[in-house]
Amino acid sequence: MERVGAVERFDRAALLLPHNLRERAREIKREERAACEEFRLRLGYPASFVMPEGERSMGGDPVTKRELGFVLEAATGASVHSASSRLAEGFITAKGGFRVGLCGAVGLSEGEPGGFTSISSAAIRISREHRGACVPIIGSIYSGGAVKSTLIISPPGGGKTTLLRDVVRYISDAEGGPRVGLCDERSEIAAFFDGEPTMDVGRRTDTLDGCPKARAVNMLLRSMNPGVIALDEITAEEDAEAITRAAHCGVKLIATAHAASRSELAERPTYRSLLASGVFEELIVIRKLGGRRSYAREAMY
Amino acid sequence: MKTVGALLLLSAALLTGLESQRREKLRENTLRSLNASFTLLRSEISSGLVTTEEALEAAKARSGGKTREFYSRVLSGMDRLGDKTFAEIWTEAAEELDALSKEEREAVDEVGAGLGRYDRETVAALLDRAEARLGSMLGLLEKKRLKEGRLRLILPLAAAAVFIILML
Repeated sequence: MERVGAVERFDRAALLLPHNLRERAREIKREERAACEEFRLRLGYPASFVMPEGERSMGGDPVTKRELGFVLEAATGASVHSASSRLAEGFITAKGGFRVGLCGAVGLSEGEPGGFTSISSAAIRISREHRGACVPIIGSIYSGGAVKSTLIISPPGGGKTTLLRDVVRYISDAEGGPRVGLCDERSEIAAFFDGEPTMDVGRRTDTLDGCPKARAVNMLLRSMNPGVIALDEITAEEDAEAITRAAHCGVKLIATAHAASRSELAERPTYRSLLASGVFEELIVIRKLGGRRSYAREAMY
Repeated sequence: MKTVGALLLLSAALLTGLESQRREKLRENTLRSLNASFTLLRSEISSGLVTTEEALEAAKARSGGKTREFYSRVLSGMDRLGDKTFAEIWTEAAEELDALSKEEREAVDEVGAGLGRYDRETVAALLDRAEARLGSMLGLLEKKRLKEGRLRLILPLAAAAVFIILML
């Protein structure tokens, strides 16, 4: 697996942009390219790039339908037909493990979203590995071969996936550490492309890519004998049920959820029951202020 | 000298007739081969499991001659996705199918305009339409060949013979 630096990841993500926007992206200062988190394209407005402190315009002409079409073509490798199921979810994972989120006019098939009839905006997330991101908090999750079931929370864009990836890698690579089963429903953690992971998730990690989380948990339990199951963004009741079942089998869980605080989490029925079940032993809250991240740790009980 | 001239004229007429037959044969073979490759593309893409690139590789592997060269050009052009659209890459590659008529090349271009842009049902329908069009054009070409095939050879020879007689 090839390891690339932060600027190189930016440059690779920029290959998904149409030619003229790619040129503009290359004009961004090197240190900003290393920190840039996303490209944003909206029909009728100049393209922009997202830094930790906020979104900035790239200037130039407004984005056109043709340019958005370029992005879709580049992201799918001119293979919309084989990416339909992902597009129905509103995103596609492009070569290099970059998630491209899409908005526009949605076509319905039997009442369910069936893909886009036209695209009006795109968000290209520049995913990066941050080896060592877990150093501030790993001591509270993993020690001497033992793992504590941990929930990592933050609002969207807080860095949960990046942190989860590094925690998984750390535990998986640790001498005498457990096997990790990874449920990567949206191909963001291991970032599979063409059947291969593009991000390092550790040598003892077994990944189920593109599989709904609840099903993935059951499959891993039945077939891969994991000591730890990791999953990103618990949102559904069935995800919570699967996690609880796994915990009752003696498996430790490391998961993430969208929330700014424990109290906000507890307001949602799915999490209320999960918190009450005692599955998680540790809570890690990621806070972002002025582009900098801080971590607060709480024991769950 | 007149004999040499007459022989040269006859040779030229024969070559012209043969060349005309060869071009028509190439056109027919290319159409037939493209049509078969569209059937294969349709089958590959309908599964929804292969990318456009994989489907094109399969079509290239099962094709010969000009059709195989065409798919090679499309595949090597896909490195430039982002600089050019897939439709542009496809159309550029199709420009070298010079054995085809303008109408036949338009039918091929239509496939490139939709391939990779739509869901599999829409792409399958597009390929069905292209197959029907090319199939119909191929049918007409075959009929024409049966009807006029020999004429392409005989007419230039006859014209040369008349000229020779007048010359001699």
